[in-house]
Amino acid sequence: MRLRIPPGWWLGGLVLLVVVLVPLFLFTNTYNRGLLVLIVIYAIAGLSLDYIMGEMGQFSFGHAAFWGFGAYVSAKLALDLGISPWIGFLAAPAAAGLVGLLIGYIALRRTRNLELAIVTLGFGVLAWTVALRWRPVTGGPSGLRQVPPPSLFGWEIRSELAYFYFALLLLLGIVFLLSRLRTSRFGRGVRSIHENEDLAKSIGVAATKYYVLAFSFACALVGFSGALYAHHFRFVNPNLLGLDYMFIFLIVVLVGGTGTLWGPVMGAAIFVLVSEWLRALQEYRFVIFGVVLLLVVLFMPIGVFPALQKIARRIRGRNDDKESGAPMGEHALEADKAG
Amino acid sequence: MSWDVIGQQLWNGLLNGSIYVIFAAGLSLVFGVMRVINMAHGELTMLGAMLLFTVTDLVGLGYFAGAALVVVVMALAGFLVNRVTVRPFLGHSELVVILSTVALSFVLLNGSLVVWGSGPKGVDKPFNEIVQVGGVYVTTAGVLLVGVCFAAVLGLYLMLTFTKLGKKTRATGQNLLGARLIGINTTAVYDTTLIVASGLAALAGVLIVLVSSASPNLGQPLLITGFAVVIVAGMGNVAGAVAVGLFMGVTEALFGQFVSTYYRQGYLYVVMIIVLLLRPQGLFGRK
Repeated sequence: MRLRIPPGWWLGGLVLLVVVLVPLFLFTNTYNRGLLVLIVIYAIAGLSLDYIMGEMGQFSFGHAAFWGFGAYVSAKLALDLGISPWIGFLAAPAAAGLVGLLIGYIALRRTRNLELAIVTLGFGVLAWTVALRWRPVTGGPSGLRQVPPPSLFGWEIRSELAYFYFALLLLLGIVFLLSRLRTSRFGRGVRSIHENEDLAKSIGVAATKYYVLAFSFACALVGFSGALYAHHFRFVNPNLLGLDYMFIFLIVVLVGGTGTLWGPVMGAAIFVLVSEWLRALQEYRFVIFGVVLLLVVLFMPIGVFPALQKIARRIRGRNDDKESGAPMGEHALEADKAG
Repeated sequence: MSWDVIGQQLWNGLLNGSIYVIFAAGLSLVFGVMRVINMAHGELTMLGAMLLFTVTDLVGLGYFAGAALVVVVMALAGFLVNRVTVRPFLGHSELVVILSTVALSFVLLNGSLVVWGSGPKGVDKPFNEIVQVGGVYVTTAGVLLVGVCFAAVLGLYLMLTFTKLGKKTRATGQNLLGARLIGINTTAVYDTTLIVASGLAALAGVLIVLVSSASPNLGQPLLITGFAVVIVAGMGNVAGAVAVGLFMGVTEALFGQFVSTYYRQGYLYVVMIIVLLLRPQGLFGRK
């Protein structure tokens, strides 16, 4: 069996090389290296949201709630019960996945598309309200502080660079996992429902079951990302569950490109770095972000990464791109066929 | 528990409910006619309130002149909302329009924070006497609010039912292709729909300041409440939105009084989730 490396991996690999080496030379102080950690954490969250948007062709407005939930679970375990963050890294996705399973089961049996977006919005805002109000457990508006960092053989991973490489390793593992999942029987089943649910059902795909499991998987993944956040930045508060982070993940996925594995990773890097460059503009940067998001949706609905892939393909003289500005989700299929 | 307390909460609920009604009516109208969820609807209301603050406080217009000016300007801005964030995406998946309007709301919210800061701004009310009606304290500004809301909803109803424009609008909502076939300019209908909806959103904004203050952060919670109302009523059902908006306002106030103030908003979301799961088409929706 010949191992074929999909073209996306070449571009991704190049980016990765840059990502591994650049921190050593360009990101020299603690603050800048903290940004790198943030990129990886957002990338994982973006990948999980993209699993819902790109693979399922659905949209969850409650995704940040699962992110914050994962962060709270791991932080709470470490603070109240003294449980090691390593267990927290497992417990957070498990808990988020279970809640995702429950909510997915309730919501996906009945609703799709717009209704699903609004049901998840309802759940998300509800979770945010609870995090804000349930003071004894969640610490109220100020949240929980002094979340311990993970330690390896008695050595605490506090340094930004160490945590960055640690998280980067996990990110690579997740990208690999997702790439395998996409081509697995399960992943193809999910895709088939996305393309045509009735047709998928008629050939024996248990649509709701597949969708609930896929939704739960995405929730577990984002919960894991949340735990990574909690143990590095060492605090959690209700904002983590709120719409601000929801918008950030949305930007990450859209700017990068839906339905591509490296898209959200690239989107996360673009988001964090651009917002850092715009820092001088202070509060104006969020206005500019909104404008950028609007422009991206207007002029580059497929996202940066697929656009780059297209250019790369054109350079290699394979003019097989038919679509531009195709309906969301369908370009994902194109990208997959090309891969 | 005394009847006075219940009466007071009924009145408070009526005030909130009236706002929900015209807010949700606009949201529902856009959905009913265009099959589009306008995520920026809340920020349009917020902008209405903030602009009113600017024209009354800084420019020096009176409340009524300022409110009329703001509603007209915001209604015209609805045309831009359609042309920039809705129309370019209509052939695409319905999620794309959600995203483009999210982007717009992001710009409006953060832009307003830059311009006005995050603090609440009070607007001078035209009259503000407090009258006691059988143990319930009622402000005259509140009476004005309720009156204008019902006039606006009645106006919307009459327009949709009896005018030619209203008939065109309903036809477009029922069948876009069919409407085009019989010669209705659906682009113009879409423009008018967003103009009317934005005007209603801004009207909600200028009325809110009668009972509370203007703040850039008032849009988001209102949007979610608006969704709750629209969903429970059935998306696109304007008449249902009126009934549910009032019901939600009143029961929310009672919930806040007798169950928990903290989870007041949570109550609305729970109602919305339950209705959506048991009856996805809403209480008054047809499948």
